[in-house]
Parts: sequence; structure tokens; C-alpha cells
Amino acid sequence: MTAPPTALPKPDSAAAQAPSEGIELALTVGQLLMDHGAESELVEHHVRACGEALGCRWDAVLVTYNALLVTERSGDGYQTKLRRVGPRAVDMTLLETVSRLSRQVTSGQLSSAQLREALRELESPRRHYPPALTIVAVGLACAAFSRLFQGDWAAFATTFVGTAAAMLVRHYYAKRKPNRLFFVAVSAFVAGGIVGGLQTLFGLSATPAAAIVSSVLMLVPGVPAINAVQDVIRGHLGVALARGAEAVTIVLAAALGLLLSLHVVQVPL
Amino acid sequence: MNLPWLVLENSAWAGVAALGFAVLFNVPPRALAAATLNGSTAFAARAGLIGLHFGSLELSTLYAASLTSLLGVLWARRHQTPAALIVIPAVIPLVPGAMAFRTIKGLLALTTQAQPDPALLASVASSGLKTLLVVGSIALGVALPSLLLRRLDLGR
Repeated sequence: MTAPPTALPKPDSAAAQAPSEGIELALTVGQLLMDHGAESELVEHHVRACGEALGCRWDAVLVTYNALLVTERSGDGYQTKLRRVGPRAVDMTLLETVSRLSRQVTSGQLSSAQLREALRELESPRRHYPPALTIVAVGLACAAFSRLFQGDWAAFATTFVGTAAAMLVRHYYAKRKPNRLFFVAVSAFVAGGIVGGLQTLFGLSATPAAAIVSSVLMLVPGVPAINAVQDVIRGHLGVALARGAEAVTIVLAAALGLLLSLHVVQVPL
Repeated sequence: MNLPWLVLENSAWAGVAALGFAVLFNVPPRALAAATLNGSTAFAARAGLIGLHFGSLELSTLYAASLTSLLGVLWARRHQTPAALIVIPAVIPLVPGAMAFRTIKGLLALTTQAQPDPALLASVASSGLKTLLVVGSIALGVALPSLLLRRLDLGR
């Protein structure tokens, strides 16, 4: 361990004011990246670069699965700040915007005040696609998977209906901020129940297994799984383990929801 | 159906899947076409390599993901934007989700048997490991250009 802080900076001194604003902004940049699906190395890079450009003299920057931790040398003392982070919906537009802002700050094109303003605007992130369009697109994506698994057209249609229904439930249920794993299990239950139920009632498809499995594939945690391996490659083993566990538990939750629904509608998989 | 046609048809469906994930991940509209095309390319590359007996599923995935990432980097250079916009949605259809579910289903089936079936145990172990290796191959392929060129912003 390094030496403990010797003296706290005087709160009214200008030297203490500027870095602490920089620390907050750098942490917000890091938090947005971490929450919405960036790998740890990228988060650490942007926190460091952005903070340095804003006058922070970093002693240490640490990225963990549920917190960012930074220590900064101010005057003859240290200050340490911890910012909670946690996985939220993957948002590529947000990732692009935040890394662009960080680069602009680093190259001196953006002042600290401008960055603060830009980050405030990101508090209500911009969705390019209305919920209805997202539901249809994801429904089609899962229906496309059923074709890849040699499903017939009836499987294609039921997959679309099942996935779209699950996405609709997700859309309304998400406002209540439910438990994430429970949420995944409920989505899988809805999708599997509808696809399996349609099969039991009408027996349309000769390939029901393709339809049932495909209808829950939008729940597969592709981004956490890929990020976990990326983190292993770059040596962030702690975050990697946590993200790997996140991916595995999400798959388990989805499988649980799916198998329960199939038990209810009495369809063997 | 002959192989080239099947690969073509399946890669079109993989493009649809990539497009759906791109919309779910809020990829900006200007990158949607490239993400779709990249998804098709990724799947076609993998299916083609497997069809030609070039390598196993895992190796073919590694090659396909590397190609996808490389194309993403070239596109990103031209458009001054992170490659991840078109790389991540494109490789999601390569993630073996169905295999992961089969593994879990097999795991649960194992516990219901009085005498665990060795064949089932072997198939659970095999599909579980395959899932891990394929996901690893995808991530390694995605990371490859930025590892080679030692520039972080390329991969992401």
C-alpha cells in the first residue's frame, strides 16, 4: 500500500477545486462507458486520458465490476473517489458519443464546462428507434435464427410472435426496474410459452424445437460474454470473471424460464 | 440444396439477425447497412470455411470474427467512428446461444436420471466447452486488429 494521505487540500483553494471537477467528469465518462457495454481497458483509458486533460494527476485508476475507483494527488495530499457502476442496456450510440467527447477533451477541443454540458444531455440518452420498431426488428432477428436452425416457415412465424411478445412484456415491465435475472427468466417464459403454446394448440410447425430455442436468443448475453474475454486478454481478470459469471447466470435464468414455460404448456424440447 | 446457395441464404438470415441486434443496441442509422452486411459476411465466412472443411467450428469462428473485425476497422477509418458499431452486432449471430441452452438442458437432464448416462455427460461437457471456445474465438477475433496495431480505439 502507498503512503496514506498526509493532508487534505483546503476546500476553498482554486487548486483543489479544478481537479475535483475533473475527477467527477472523468468518472462520469468512465461510468457511462462501463454501464453501457465497453470493455474495461477502454474505460480505464478514457478515465485516465480525460482526467489528465482536465488537470487530474492520477495516482491510480481502478476499474472493477461494480465500481470505478480513482486516487488523485492534490497539493501535498490525496483524494480518492469511488463511483458505483453496473450493467445496463447496451447502447452503441452512447459509447460512440462518450468516447468522442473524451477524445475531444484530450485534444483540447472541449473545455470542462462544455464536457459537463454534453454529459448532462446524455442523462436522457437518445434512442434512434421507437420501441415498436425495436420489437419488430428483434422479432425478425430471432425468426431469422429459426431459419438458420433449419426451421420451417411456421417456426419462423411463431418465433417472431413469441419473441415480439417477450420484447413487449420487457418494454412495459422494464419501467418497474425489476430484478435483472428475474426479468430475463420472465422474458424467456413468455417467449417459450407462446411458441410452445401455439405449437400445442395448432401443431403448425414440423420443427418446433428450432422455433422454441430461437425465440429466446435475444436474451443471450453476447456483449458481456465477449467483453469478458476481451478483459481476460487485456489483463482485467477480476472484471472478466464477474462478467463471465454475469453471462452464465443470464443464460441459466433464460434456460430456467424457457424450461418452466415448456413444462407448463407440455411441450418436450 | 447445394452448399453455395445454402451459405448465401443463411448469410442473408444472419444479416437480418445482425440488423435486429444493431437496432436493439441503438446503433446509429448511418451504420445499420454496414452492420447488416458485416453480419452476413461474418456468417458466410464461417459457414464457407466449415463447408470447405477448412477447420473446426471454433477455428472457423476465429477466422470469421477476425475478418469481421478487420472489415469493421477499415470501415471505421473511412467514417471516423468506432469499429464496434458494426463489429459487435455482426458477431452476435456467431454466438452459440442454442448450444449454450442445450448445455444447460443437458445439465438439468443429468440430475433427473437415477444412473447418469455417460453419453449425455459427454455431450454436456462437449457442448459446454464448445460454447466457451466459440465465444472465446469471437472475442479474440474482435480484439485481433487492435492487438496487432496496438491501438485501443480500433477494436472499440
